[in-house]
Amino acid sequence: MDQKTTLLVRGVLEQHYDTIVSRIRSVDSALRLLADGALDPAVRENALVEAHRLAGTLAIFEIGDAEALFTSSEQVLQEVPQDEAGARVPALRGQIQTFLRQLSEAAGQSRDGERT
Amino acid sequence: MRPRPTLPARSRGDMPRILVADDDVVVQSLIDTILVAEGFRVVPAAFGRDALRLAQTSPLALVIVDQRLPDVDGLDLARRIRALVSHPILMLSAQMDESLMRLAHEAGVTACLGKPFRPAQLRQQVIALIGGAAAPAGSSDATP
Repeated sequence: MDQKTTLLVRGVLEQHYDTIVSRIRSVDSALRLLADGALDPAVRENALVEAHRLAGTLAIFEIGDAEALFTSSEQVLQEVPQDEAGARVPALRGQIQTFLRQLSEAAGQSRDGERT
Repeated sequence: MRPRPTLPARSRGDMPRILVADDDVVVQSLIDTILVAEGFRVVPAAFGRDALRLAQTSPLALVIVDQRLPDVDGLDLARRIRALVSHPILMLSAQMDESLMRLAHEAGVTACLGKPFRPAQLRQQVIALIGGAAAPAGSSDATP
């Protein structure tokens, strides 16, 4: 991306940061519940919608491999039975936590950039 | 480096209006930001019914439709809009593949763009469509 577009896109990230983080947390929470065997169908459905949105959106911010991360999350929530989820969910949740930190740093850089 | 495609300078009243039907506020905001920076005016619609009404009542240069909307399937919406107007329709989807592109083409969609897209891909596609150099739906970029 050229510098102008990067600044514009980072401005959108800052504007919608709370919404994006809320979506990520709902996916993370659903994964935890899946691994615990306590995932409600309505919670799963909502998390699937959010994971699909995140997979289709976050790559534009060029932070980590968001598309792969949330496509994997969507697949696990959709297809993986609870007795197998325990093996896959911890690694996925670890990647989500890493991504949240990267997202926070990117949004912080955007705010710093606006101040300078 | 290839030069970026651009539109001729226009007064604000002449800015091409683009209807964007997508229920995701983040996507709406991204598209709005990218296209306004290029001199377009964006008309947002979060629901298919709003998009259909705006397509009938607003002077538009292009309609962008997400495949998934809360109240209507994007293909169905494209079909209904195509029955009303002749301007280009660009379909967005996170599940873009050959099959969907074929269905989109049959529904009257002019071109398709897979999600996630890059700002340059959106910009180039929109300028190509509004400039009349649209590729048919089956040959558009589905793998950003």
